[in-house]
Amino acid sequence: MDAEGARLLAAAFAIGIAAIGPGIGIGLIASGALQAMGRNPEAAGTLTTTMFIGIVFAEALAIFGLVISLLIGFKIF
Amino acid sequence: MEKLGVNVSWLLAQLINFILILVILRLLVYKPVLNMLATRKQKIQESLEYADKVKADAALQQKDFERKLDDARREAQSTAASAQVAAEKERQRILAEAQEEAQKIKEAARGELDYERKQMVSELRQQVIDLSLLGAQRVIGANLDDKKSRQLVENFLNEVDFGAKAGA
Amino acid sequence: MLKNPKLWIAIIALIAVGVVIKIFFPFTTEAVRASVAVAPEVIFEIGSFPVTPTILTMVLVFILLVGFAFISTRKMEMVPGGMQNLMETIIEQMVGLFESIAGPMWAKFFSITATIFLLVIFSNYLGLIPGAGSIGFIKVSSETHTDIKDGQVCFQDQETHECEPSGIFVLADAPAFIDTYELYYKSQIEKGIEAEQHAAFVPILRAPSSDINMPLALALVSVFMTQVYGMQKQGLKYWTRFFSFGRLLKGDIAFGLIDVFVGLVELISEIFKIVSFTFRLFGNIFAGEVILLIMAFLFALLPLPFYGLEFFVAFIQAFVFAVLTAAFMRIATAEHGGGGHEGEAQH
Repeated sequence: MDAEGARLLAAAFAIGIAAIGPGIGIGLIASGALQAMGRNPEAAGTLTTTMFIGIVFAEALAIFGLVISLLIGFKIF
Repeated sequence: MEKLGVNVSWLLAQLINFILILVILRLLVYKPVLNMLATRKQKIQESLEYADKVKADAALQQKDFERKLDDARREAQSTAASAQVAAEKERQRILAEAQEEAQKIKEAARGELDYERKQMVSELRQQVIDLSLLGAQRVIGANLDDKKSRQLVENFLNEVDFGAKAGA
Repeated sequence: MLKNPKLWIAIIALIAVGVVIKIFFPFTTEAVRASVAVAPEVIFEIGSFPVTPTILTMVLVFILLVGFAFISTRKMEMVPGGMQNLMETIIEQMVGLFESIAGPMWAKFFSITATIFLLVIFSNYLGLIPGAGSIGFIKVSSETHTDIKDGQVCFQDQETHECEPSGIFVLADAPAFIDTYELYYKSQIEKGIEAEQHAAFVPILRAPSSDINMPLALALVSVFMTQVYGMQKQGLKYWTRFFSFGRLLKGDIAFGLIDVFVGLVELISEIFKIVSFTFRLFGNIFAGEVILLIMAFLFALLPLPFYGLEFFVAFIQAFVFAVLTAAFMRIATAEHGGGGHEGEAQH
C-alpha cells in the first residue's frame, strides 16, 4: 500500500470509527427522551429542546472525527 | 486551512453579511414585531379584564334586579295579606252590624206584638165585661149598669187573669 | 397494500421515469468527482474579491430575507394578515423557544439567536432548491490558457475538431467537457507547452452552509457574543471562569492547581465550541449535498428520500445552532466565577 492509499484509509477510518460512539449515544438519548415524553407528555416541549442539546453534545465527538478525517484527507498536517 | 476553503476575504464577507442582516432585521422586524406582540398581549389582557368587569357588573345588576323583584313580590304578598285581613274585619263588622240590626228589628217587632196583644187582651176584657153584664141583666132583668157591678166583674176577671197568667 | 394495482403502477412508472432520466442524463462517478469540492470554486472576481457560488447564494439569501422582512413589516397592523401574520408567527415561535432555553434573559440574546436561525435556515433551504449545485459551468483555472475567450473555455472535439463553447449546463453533462479538457491538456503537455491542469464543474448556486466560511463566521459571532454577554453580566469576574488563580495565590496549592486545570479545560472547550459549531453545520450540509449527488449517480430517483432527510436536517441544523447559542449564552450569564466560590458569595 502506498502512502496515498494509507492516507485515504486513515481518513475513512477516522470518521467511520468516530461515528460509532456518538451513534450509540444519540440512540440512548433519544430513547430516554421518548420514554420520558411517553410518561409525561406535558413536558414534551422542554424535553425536545433538551434532547437536542444532549444530542448535540454527543455529536460533537463525531465532529472531532470529521475534523480529523478532513485534516488527514486534505493533507492539511 | 486553505484546502478546507477558509479564506479571510470570504470569512469577512460572511461576517459583514451577518452583521448587516442582524442590523436590518433588528430594525425592520424584531423591534416592531416584538413591540406589536407586546401591545397586542396588553390589549388582549385589557379587553379580557374589561370583559370580566362587564360580566361582574352584569352579575351584580342581575342580583340587584332579582333582589328588587323579590322585594316587590314580598310587598305585593304582604299587601294582599293585609287587604285580606281588612276585608275579613270589614266582613265581620258588617255581619255584626247586620245581626244587631236584625236583633233590633226582631225586638221592635216583638214589642209591637206585645203591645198589640195587650191591647187585644184589654179590649177583649172590656168586651167580656160588657157581654157578661149584658148576660147578667137579661138573667135578672134589671139594669146593672152601675159602678158597683162593673167593679165586681172587673175583680172577677182579675182573678181569672191571674189564673191565666199562672197557666201561661 | 401489495394487492393495490394502483400502487404497483405508480412504482413501475417511477422506475420507468428513473430509467429514462438515467438514459438522457447519464450521471457518472465523474460527475460526482467534478462537483464535490470542499473549498468553493471561484466564479469571477470583483476587484480582488473572489466571488464563489456560496457567496452568490448568500447574496440571494440576503435579498430574500431583507425583502421578506421589508414586505412583512411595511404596514404593521393590529390585526395581522398575510406576510405580517407569517412573520409574527415565526417570531412568536422563536420567542417561545428562546424563552424556554435562555430564561428571563432571552430578550437580550434574541436578535443574535433569531438572526442565526433565520440565516441558517434560509441558506440551507436555498441550497436544497433543485438546480442549486447542479446547474453551472466548467471552469479552468489556468490563466495562460489560450483558449479562454470572454470568460468561456473552448474545447476541441477530438473527432470533429470543432470548438464547443462551455456555457451554462447541468452537472450531468460536465464530465464530457472535463474529459475533453483533460485530453486537450495532455496534448498541450506533449507539445511542450506548460499548462496547469485543473478543470471543475462550478455550480451557480450552492448552499452557503456548505462553504466553511459561513458556519465559521456564525460560530465566531456566537462565541464572541457569548463572551461579551458574560462580561456584561459579571464584569471582569467572568474571566475567572477560564483563569482562576484565586485559590492558588491564597496558598491552597492542591485545590488551586485543580482550579487552574478546570479553567484550562473550560478555555479549550470554549475554543472547541467554534470548531464544533462550524463543522456541525458545514459537515451536515456538505455531507447532505454529497449524498444527494451520489444517490443521483446511482439511480435518478434515489435522491428523493434523502431529499426529505436533508429537508429535515436543514431545519434541525438551524434550530440546533440557534438553540445552542442561546444555551451557551445563558450558561455564560448565569455562572458565577468558574471553579471558584467568590462569585457565589457575591450573589
